[in-house]
Amino acid sequence: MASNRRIPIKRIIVSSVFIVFFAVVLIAIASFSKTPNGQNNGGPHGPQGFDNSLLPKSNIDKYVDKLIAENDNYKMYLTASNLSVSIEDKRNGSLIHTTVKEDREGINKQWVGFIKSGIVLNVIDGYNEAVQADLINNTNLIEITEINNGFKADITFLDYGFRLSMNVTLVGDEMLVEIPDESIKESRDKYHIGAINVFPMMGHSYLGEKEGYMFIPDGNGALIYLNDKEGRLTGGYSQMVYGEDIGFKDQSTQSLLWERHQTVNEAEYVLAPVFGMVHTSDIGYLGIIEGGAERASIEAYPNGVKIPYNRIYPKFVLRRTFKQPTSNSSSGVVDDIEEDRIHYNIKVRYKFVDGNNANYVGLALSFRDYLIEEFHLHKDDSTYNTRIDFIGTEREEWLFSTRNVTMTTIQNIRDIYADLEEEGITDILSIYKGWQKGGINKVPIEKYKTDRNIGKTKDLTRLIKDINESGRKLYLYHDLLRINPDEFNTTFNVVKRIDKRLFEEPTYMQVYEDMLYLIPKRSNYYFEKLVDDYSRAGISDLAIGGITSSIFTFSYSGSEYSRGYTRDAYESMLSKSDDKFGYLLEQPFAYLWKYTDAFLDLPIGTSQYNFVDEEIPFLAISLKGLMPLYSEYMNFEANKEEFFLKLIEMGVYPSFLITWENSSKLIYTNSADIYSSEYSIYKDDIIRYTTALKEVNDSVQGAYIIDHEKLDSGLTIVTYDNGTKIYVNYGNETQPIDGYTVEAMSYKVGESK
Amino acid sequence: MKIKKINSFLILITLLCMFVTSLLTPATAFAEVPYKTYTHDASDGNYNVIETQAAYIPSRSITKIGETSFAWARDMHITKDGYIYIADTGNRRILVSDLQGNYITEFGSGVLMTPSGVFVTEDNMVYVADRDAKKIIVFNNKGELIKEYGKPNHPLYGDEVDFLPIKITVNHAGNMFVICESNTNGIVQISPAEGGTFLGYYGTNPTSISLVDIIIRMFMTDAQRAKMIMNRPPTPDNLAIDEKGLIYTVTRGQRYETLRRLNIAGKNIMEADDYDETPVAVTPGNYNNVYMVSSQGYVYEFNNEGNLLFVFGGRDDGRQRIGLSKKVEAVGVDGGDLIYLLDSDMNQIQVFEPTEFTDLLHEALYLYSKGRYTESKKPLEQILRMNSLFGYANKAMGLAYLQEENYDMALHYSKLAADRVTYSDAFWEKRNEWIRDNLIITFIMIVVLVTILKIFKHLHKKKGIFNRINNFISIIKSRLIVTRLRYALYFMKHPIDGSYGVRWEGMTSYFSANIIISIFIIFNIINKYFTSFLFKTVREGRYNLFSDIGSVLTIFIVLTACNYLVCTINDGEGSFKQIYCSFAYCLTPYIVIQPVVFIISKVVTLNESFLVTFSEQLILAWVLVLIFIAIKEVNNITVKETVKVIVLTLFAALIFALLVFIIYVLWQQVFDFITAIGGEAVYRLGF
Repeated sequence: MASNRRIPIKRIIVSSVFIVFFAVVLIAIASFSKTPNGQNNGGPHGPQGFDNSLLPKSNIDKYVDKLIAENDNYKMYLTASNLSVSIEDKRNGSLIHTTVKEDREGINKQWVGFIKSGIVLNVIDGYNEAVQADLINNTNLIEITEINNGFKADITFLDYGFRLSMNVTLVGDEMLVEIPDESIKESRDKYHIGAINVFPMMGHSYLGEKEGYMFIPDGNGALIYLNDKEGRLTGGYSQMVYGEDIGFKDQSTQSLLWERHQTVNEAEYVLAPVFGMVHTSDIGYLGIIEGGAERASIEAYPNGVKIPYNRIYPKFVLRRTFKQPTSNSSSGVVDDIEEDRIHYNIKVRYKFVDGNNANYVGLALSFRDYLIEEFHLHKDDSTYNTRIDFIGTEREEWLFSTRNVTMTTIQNIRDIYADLEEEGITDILSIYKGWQKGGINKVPIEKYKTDRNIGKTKDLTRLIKDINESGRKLYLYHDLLRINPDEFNTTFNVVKRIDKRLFEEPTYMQVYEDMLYLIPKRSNYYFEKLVDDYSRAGISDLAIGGITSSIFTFSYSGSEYSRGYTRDAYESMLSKSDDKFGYLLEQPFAYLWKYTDAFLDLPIGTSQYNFVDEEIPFLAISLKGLMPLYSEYMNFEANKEEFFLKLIEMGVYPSFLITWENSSKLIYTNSADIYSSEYSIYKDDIIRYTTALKEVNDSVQGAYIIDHEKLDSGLTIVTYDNGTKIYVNYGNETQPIDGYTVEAMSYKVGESK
Repeated sequence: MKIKKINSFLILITLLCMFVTSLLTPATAFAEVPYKTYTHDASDGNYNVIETQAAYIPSRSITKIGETSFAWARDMHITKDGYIYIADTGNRRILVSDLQGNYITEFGSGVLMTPSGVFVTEDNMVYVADRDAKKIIVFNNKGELIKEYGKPNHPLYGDEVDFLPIKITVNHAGNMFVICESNTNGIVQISPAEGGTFLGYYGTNPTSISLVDIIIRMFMTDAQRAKMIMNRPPTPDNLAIDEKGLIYTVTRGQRYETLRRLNIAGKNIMEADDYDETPVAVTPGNYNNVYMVSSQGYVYEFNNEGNLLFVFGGRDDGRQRIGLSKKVEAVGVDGGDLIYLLDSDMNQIQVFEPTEFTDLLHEALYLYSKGRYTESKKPLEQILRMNSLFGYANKAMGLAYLQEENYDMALHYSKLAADRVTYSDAFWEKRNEWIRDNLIITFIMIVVLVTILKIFKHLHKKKGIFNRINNFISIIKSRLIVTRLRYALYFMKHPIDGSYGVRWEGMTSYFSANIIISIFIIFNIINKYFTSFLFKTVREGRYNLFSDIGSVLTIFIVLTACNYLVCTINDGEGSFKQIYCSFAYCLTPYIVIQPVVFIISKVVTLNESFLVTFSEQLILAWVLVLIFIAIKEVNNITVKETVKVIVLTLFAALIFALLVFIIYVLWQQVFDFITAIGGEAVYRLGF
């Protein structure tokens, strides 16, 4: 019945008219309600819907390749619309551009924005980090103010509500870029500045069009050539200055051998906030991050990684996102973001090198000048020493607890010194590890008290005095960062990550499985207690590790502390008693270099990235002569001959880790990774190395390196400012040079002619 | 014989040359290697994994053969005369280069479909396993097609079974060993006769079936059983052949025996120290050693006996470091011991160069394999100077000293290496020496002792010089607790009477029982951790006393409790105290005999090890008999009832364990829930 019923056409027409009317009304209401907020409609990705007449007037049209500063050697030009700065060397006319000038096919819009902007921001939209704000794809307002030697640009990113000012000045052979913290403003809740990329294309080159290289501060120094990589590489260098931030470390994602062993050596940390670009024999620059280094990363990408350009730049991280776990199982995780952005003034100094100095040696020399001027380092490398470190005691498992394993007693050290003296070896510097009560892993050290198995405290004091009287030094080692949770109460005063979870550093060993980090305040507490003890005992030489090569973000009792806070705390801790004590700092970051008597554990090589083309002794060239440089332990080198030649090339002094007992005694301890250290085994090596290296270094003592050259034949020539030349032959054939013959895998000390 | 001698002489000469040149040739990159290298400190199961010097350092990578690049290459073969044959799977051809990566030739285009396995014989015939062409295709080294072998036409091969060859190796006789995809019968062995004769399946892996599987199967219906994945043995994933014609295979997806060396009968004759769960390729080295790689990029080197020499490498994981891999497909070793890893994800061959340390090791391996133990000591000593814990070196040193009849040193080194066989042999010799030297003295001393005892006894009888001591002893003996403890000895010998005493005469107390249990635990621990090196079963340097004590106590208490409960509902008459005490007293044989066994273990070698094992079995049997009788007598039940009670007790204990487990799991959930709420609070409120 129902299916047969017919609906009158009239009724259909009436209802359709009604529906249409209703829809029109709805649309009208919707569009009216939108109109007052119309400006917001543009969205982050385009200027459409944006009314230019509403903007304040900008003065950018005046600046198109306009000369804005000039001095004896360099000119600086500015194109304001995309903050493109160009530096011209007046002597040879070569140019460095901070943005890509030409247009090329096949690069997508976002990348075009990246390569053509003088400043690019990474925007966090909610928790999404993959948003970019640049000066091409986003509407912005730039206001230029000319200042002495340069300009100030006030930039407003209208799409996101960000503002910041950037000062660029040309002073002498340097360009200084600053972004003051107070100028950075975020005005919308939804958008946050994640990171600021400063001049991301400074000194760029297209494929293999230019000869030269990028310098990255990996290990002692590494170069990425500017040749055409033919699309072979998929990634580049991206490392935080002063190492990764354990406060953000995700501890779960590691592939382990047999689910137990962490088989990959960590990449070398960036010890100094430097980077560089060189167009060989033409022009180049050394970039030094002066402000915000602790939250900056150095980014270097060869051509073929996303775009066909070679580029290197600093990236300043203001805010990071992280995963906040809400349960113990891996499932419960929510995204979170740092509450407040980290406040610091961004400051980058670009030091230009030109002509014959446009090479890595030029960069290293320029860095040395900088260290002398700004870090107040001075020539301080008067004597050669072989570093011989000792291990006192360790602990191994035993029934219900642990028991002592004695490796080197105070008397043993006396015997070793006497034995070496008999052989004519007196140039020794030593660090004593694991001297404290409870052994090497009983950290932190609370007071000056030796483990009774190595001797009495007063015996140690006497030993140090005796060694000092003979003109040598014995430093007591302190790890001021770590605390052993099996030996101490660690409910309070330990570092928690940004997600408020305890940070645990796995040792991958069996006696103590994890170590925790002390908060800086607590490190300071222990350190001050020790300082009093040592003053009383008359000890003035301390070797310090842990805090010298780690800074981190952490949370403690409700508050969050930045890497900057950690750095300042450590620096003030050491500077307070700097006049009373001599410090040896273990692989120190650049900000601590002025406090150390020597550089311990200077990396000889690099992390061996697959995009690196050459390893260079950048740190060695900069630092040789400014302080004694000591290598990492020789014990664990598989290619000892080559290592030895590297030491000669770099002017680095050798280090040994020595125990009196055979290292097999350590097998059941946390020091099981020390598989060779017995004195009787290394005695001959110590004598041989010391004799040979002392002879080489005596001829260059207190001198600076002024040139470093690698020939294709495998020969390396290092020239010192006192005229000495050192030839090192890594090749397998004898090489004649400058009237000398250098045998295969050997070296020669010569005079420059 | 003569030829052999000359041959080995030549090898030695080349080896020495290599050794010298390798000292001279620098690595292009410096040795701060991105990965750690590990080895074992001991050659038995209770090894510790220890770090060691870098064994191989990444020297260069071959990304292109001349100007030609390869894509998704699945296999690679390195010949003795220094050529690399690459199965360029993505480009359907075979690429040939020299060891430097210079282009030599290519062939197979148009013929090959998916070449995924390649093997080159000594007379330069190139065998290609082509999966999609379902053929083995043979070329000469000029690239001319010589022969093709299709699916074997043989009833034993199986009609339904497809022929999808993926890996191949060929022995001296020209017999092909082919691994086929989805053929679980084993390696297909084909002789070249008559255009390819199927010889049978070879080297089938053993089926692994666990106890749990068996139990689960018992309770399943036929339908369920059919649904379960067929328990077929896994087929090998890759193979290689050494000079003697022995086949090596690797198999993924198992925990053990993933690397095997097969004799002619297809039996595994190598037991490796360590296995990887995802091995992809294997290749024999130049010193009877063998290299195995996992898809994760770990490279293992084993010696002839399967002792782990090195493991190194690892996964790239976005680190972009030279020497780490993404997806390894094949491994090869050239005459200079350089290792080549083919990575199909990175489309490159990574070359690793041995270090000075590894050259020493190879020299030692070579000398050792030739039986020149004394000569091998020199490189071994140098290795041990560089790493005093190197398991293989210590073991070889032990054997070398044993050959030289320097037993003290042999004992020292074999103990370091946990090499029980050598240790036992050296100890045997040592003991013989001792007996020879001290037999007469010992005999005289025994005679003297016996005489002295006799004299004292005589004096005591006459003058009573030991009366005071005897009085003291009898006072102690009369103490209640001492009587009760001494009762254990009686109980041990007369369990039926003893149980009567426990039940009716109050011969025991909780205190005495606890003392016996404590002694049992102490003896147990002493035996576990301080027995002779030859019989020690736990790893040196590891102590788990809390769990040792805890487990003994838990088992004892749970079993006693369960037994008590079961007995009470089965008309048992014993009280809890009686059952507890009688059980404790049942442990007496252990307390009495184990110390003797402990002392014996210190002087016997592996040859007489039955003394120890037999005594231990005796103790166990005795204790079990005592328990049985104790249950029966204390509860005053029949033998049949006793058996029932015992079965029920075990069942009750099982249920109890299950209950604890369930409660634990539930509690875990509650705990997780609470921490999750805490986590949420931290997140929302931002503490």
